[in-house]
Amino acid sequence: MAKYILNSVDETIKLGELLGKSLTESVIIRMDGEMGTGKTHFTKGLALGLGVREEITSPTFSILNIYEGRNMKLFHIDAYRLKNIEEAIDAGLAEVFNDDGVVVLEWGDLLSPFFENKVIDIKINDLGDNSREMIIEGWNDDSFRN
Amino acid sequence: MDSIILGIETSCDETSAAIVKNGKDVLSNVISSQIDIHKKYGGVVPEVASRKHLEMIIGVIDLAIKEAGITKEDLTAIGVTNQPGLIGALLVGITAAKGLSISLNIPLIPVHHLRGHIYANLVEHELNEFPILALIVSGGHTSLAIWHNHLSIEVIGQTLDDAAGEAFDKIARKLGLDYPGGPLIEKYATHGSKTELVFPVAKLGKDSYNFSFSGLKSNVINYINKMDQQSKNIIIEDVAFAVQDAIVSAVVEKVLLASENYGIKNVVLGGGVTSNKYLLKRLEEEGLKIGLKVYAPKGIYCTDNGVMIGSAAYYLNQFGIKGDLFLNAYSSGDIK
Repeated sequence: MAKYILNSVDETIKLGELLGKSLTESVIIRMDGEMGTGKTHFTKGLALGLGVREEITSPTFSILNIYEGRNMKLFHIDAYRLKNIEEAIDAGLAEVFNDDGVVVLEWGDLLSPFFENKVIDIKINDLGDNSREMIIEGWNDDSFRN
Repeated sequence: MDSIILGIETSCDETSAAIVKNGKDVLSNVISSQIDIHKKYGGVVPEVASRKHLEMIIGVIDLAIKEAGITKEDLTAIGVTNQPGLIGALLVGITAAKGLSISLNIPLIPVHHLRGHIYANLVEHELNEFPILALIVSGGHTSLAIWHNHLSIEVIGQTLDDAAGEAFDKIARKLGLDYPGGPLIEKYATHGSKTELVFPVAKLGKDSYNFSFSGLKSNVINYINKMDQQSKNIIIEDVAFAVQDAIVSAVVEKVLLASENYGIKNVVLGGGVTSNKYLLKRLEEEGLKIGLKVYAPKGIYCTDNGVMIGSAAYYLNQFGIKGDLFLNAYSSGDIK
């Protein structure tokens, strides 16, 4: 387990980029954090690290956004609006977890039966103002300093 | 010969089909959420699901044809949204459109969802002096574009994170309001007033036409959390006013900037947030000062509907733009 204190949006993006650069195989990144704690910003960084050229925007309305990275696809999912597993299947989300690529999952506990690939768990705690504590299980980077 | 186009839209939550004659005459417009699904089809209908589209699509298309007082054989082309949206949802509309296109031997025209929102304006307004600015603000999109002509729409700015409507909805969620929260924030805001409470919106450089609302969202959340910690009550009407003012000001500022920089004197609106009266009022008032005229479709054509797809398809068809049976769905993509 690794714990990081992030004091700005830029630091959140930086850490995401380091994670993105380090990924070489399909993985599911499960993000747990309240609204406004930086889940989309972290994903922006991750996308940078994966070599995605498009702008990463919130998937809350669209539920699933798909991007092409340098070597791997990035699937960005916000399952907040899904009520049950049937809706997730209907929305085509089950297939994503069998696909080659990096899945970033927000509000997705109900989707865990689909998980086949390795999971990295990220918990974000709001420390007030713009500070966040990020606890990551399954990955760390000792070079990250702030 | 009259052009009679079936427009199909299934990119997000709505299943919609409409019949549009010659690009402007709306013969019918069927939107799934506007009809009593339970009465017509029975059972529980999930809110977000491709299966809902699948269950609805044939009935919605049949109803659109019936309400228009025509038969399938009267159709001259079919327009269908193929991007951006949820792939599974888009494919339902595309597959139905392909089937009809083959069986009736008429053109199949793919339409970008945002192009549809822009063309909803041509149903009511005579607009032929290009270029025209286009502002699309909804729960899923926030884009500013230059509508050069029927073949070219250039997006000059878009949101870098949350859409404007999404910012309204998420802040409403934090305030404990129901979904969708945008209209409720507007309602509370009309009873609120300007106080010292101001929520800044990110500045993205003076010549950028992009938008960013996630910082605003965080600021409001921080404010509410702080007030909670201090056991102070918030005045929801005043918070709603400040939130609406911040979002609307950011949007209006970019439209005016584009109008001045590009020398464009007309702007068309589209998307659900366009129904926000404060946005329309601010745009009209501030537009007037620089000679910018504002056009908006009437309410029902602001949100997702088949009419706008039928209208856009009419103009694309005139230029011979059409798809084939390999037509696919895309979750994202530039306006084509």
